[in-house]
Amino acid sequence: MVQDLLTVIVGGEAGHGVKKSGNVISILMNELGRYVFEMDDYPSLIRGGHNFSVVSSSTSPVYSHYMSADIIVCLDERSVDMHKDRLKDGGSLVYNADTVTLDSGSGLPMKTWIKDIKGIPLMAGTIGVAAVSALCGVEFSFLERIFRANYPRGLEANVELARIVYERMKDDEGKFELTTAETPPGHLLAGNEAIALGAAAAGLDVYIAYPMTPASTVLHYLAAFSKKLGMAVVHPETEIAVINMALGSAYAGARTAVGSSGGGFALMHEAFSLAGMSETPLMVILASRPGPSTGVPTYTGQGDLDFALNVGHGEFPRIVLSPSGTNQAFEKAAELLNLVWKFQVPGILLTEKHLGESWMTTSIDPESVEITEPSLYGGPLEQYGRYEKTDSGISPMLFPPAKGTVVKASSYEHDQKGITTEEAEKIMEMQEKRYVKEKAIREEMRNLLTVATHGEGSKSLVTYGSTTLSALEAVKNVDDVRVVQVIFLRPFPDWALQEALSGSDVIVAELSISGQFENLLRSKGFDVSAHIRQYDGRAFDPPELAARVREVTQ
Amino acid sequence: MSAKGAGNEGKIETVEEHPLDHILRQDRLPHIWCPGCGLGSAMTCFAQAIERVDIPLKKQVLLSGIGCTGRIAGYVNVDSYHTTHGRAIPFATGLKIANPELCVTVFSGDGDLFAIGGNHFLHAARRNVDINVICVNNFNYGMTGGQQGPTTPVEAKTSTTRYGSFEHPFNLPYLAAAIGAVYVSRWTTLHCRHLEKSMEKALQKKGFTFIEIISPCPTGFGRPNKLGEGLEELRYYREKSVIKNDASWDELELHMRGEEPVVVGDFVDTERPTYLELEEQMLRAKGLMK
Repeated sequence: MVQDLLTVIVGGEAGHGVKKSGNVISILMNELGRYVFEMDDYPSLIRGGHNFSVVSSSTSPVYSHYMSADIIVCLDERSVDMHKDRLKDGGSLVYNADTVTLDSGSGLPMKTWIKDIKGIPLMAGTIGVAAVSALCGVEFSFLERIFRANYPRGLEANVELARIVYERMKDDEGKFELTTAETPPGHLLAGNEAIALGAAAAGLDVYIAYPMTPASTVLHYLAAFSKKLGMAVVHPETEIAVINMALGSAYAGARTAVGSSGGGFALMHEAFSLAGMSETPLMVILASRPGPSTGVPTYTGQGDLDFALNVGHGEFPRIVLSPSGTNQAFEKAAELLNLVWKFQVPGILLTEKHLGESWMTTSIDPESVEITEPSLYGGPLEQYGRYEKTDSGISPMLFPPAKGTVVKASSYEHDQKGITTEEAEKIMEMQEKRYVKEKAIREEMRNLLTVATHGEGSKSLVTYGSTTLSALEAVKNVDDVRVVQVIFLRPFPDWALQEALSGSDVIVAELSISGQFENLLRSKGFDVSAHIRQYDGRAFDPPELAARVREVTQ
Repeated sequence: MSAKGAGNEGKIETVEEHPLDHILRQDRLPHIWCPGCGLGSAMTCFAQAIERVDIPLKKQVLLSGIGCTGRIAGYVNVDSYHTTHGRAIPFATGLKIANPELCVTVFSGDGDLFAIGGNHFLHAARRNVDINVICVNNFNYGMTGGQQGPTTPVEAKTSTTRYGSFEHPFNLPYLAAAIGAVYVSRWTTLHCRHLEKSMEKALQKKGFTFIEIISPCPTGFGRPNKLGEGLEELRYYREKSVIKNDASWDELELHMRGEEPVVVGDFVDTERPTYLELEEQMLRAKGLMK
């Protein structure tokens, strides 16, 4: 059976290498010339929880994963109970015959085999990868090459296990005949890695963060490559320290970003407002999980939109944007870092676990990113004022130690020289100076991709963030619906959205119970004819979303 | 500073130029602090110290949090950033990491540094970030109405402890030493020469340094505790203070009542690799840095 779209689920106990198996399957598919989307599902537990990875792949781009699978690999009994109903007709169930007996599927004595070669429990994952590879008819030598690159430790044992699996599964070998291509369509990258690389490409000098899922992998990734990227990466005592350190670093002229999830970012509010007042450029990566409070740390949601749009006391301009997949995440992260330095404002890259921790086939070109330098002061030094009034509201910058003058900045309202003031006229002058920057940002946005239209159709499925990915996959099976993604959320690109919608029916899909995104659209004067909401911590499953779109458009 | 200098018997003497004129912003003076407050002396000592040390003025950056002491950053004619309440230390850390060439000093009050900002103090000292923290301790929150703070002595009256405080206050030099500060000293605003010397030492020393300045706050602390006006509070310090560099840690507790002395001095002067030095050493050892 020749097949293009293929979905594999690997499930097992936390600590048994499930995520690694999912990843190696993704790499295998990517190397076979297929586009991949991998979603890792794991609870906020250290050991004993149930983990599973879903890998959907195809020779054309796959934007999000599917929850019904062609192959399900169950490394333990619980996986069988949890996932067997997700098997498609004609699919293959591979399970651990040492722990469970079924009358169908391929039972592999995983524990026994591992014991026979004196292996470790983690190797159950290897068996799973080999089973998938055999079912897809991948040449053994090809798999061996993948193993060589991805299992540097215990390579021989892993290859031996794979050989045993191939031998046992010979009857089913090549059951799924995959379409392939000569070369991999791109690199596998997680959303958070793409964001990190985008910021790095735009000249990020310093990254400061306190760990919080699902933002932590930005920190891990940059910490791992900090020396190669020539970047300082710091993990301070609290999120409050994080953002204040970041402001210190930016005051010195270093391009700086911070990252967190809702709870951690909540601790940063006061200093976010300080960035607004002191006009200190700052990029914030806000990776959402379902809240409120600690919420559901390792799952996805879009309940932080209002929070991101309105964070910080007082009135000051800021930029909020939200990318969909890895390619866009790379571009928009770079763009945001440039924008916050150009306009000397704080900016938020709003994302969700569904982008941040999912793996996608990605094509990015770091060389394509241009670094926009901030406006620097070149006038007579004795006249320098950090907050000099200009038409655009953007004051030329100097960084300490600036010879011949001083750079004074303050959390208090201040005059053009940065000195505290309580005079009515000066308060107004500064409020207006900051306020007009928003106009300048809007002007700049006219040259940027602020709203993206994907595909054609007379009706518009309107989304933002990683829900766009689910929507893109869903509309493959819905007639006459295009996807319209709002990338910039503040300032709101009403002109671009108007053009993109051009009077079409609007269906809003989002991961929020109250419909924050829909409310935003309505508040900007857009009519919404139907909405689709989900708030279970999971991204939309494309076929389900497609069915719901059909339901509301009929 | 150019206009006024109080003479002894109401005689006003005018001088053309003060040697610190270029360090203090003439356009901002006179300052806003209460008569008798110790902040003016503390600021002058700092101005003297940055003038004397062999570090270009241009490399000095002064940071502060919120409170009466927080206002110092605005008056001194060096690069400065007046952060929000309690956050000058993490800001300083970020600044130092981004530009290690700068000589970074945080000048703030006891409430700002040790109540809301306490955690940052602990971690910056632990890491031995090469910054200087100068704390003006006046035993209360002066700017916001004389409330109890983390250094308010037991039994002291403040606007929130009308019957006397029953919280144990911080012993700041002990705290700083315990978490790794490489230089720790304490003076009152009366000990101008000593304080200046300590500041010079701190500015030149690599690593996390800490100076506590005991300062009169006639409005918030002196009056409710019957220490009198600023001068009387200073007189009290003069009578009570004892210089003792090798004091034991419990001797450094401040009671501010009865016969208990105010022990001042240079308590710690040691060496420890700084945050950035340790990183560099380690990376070199692992061949990750040339």
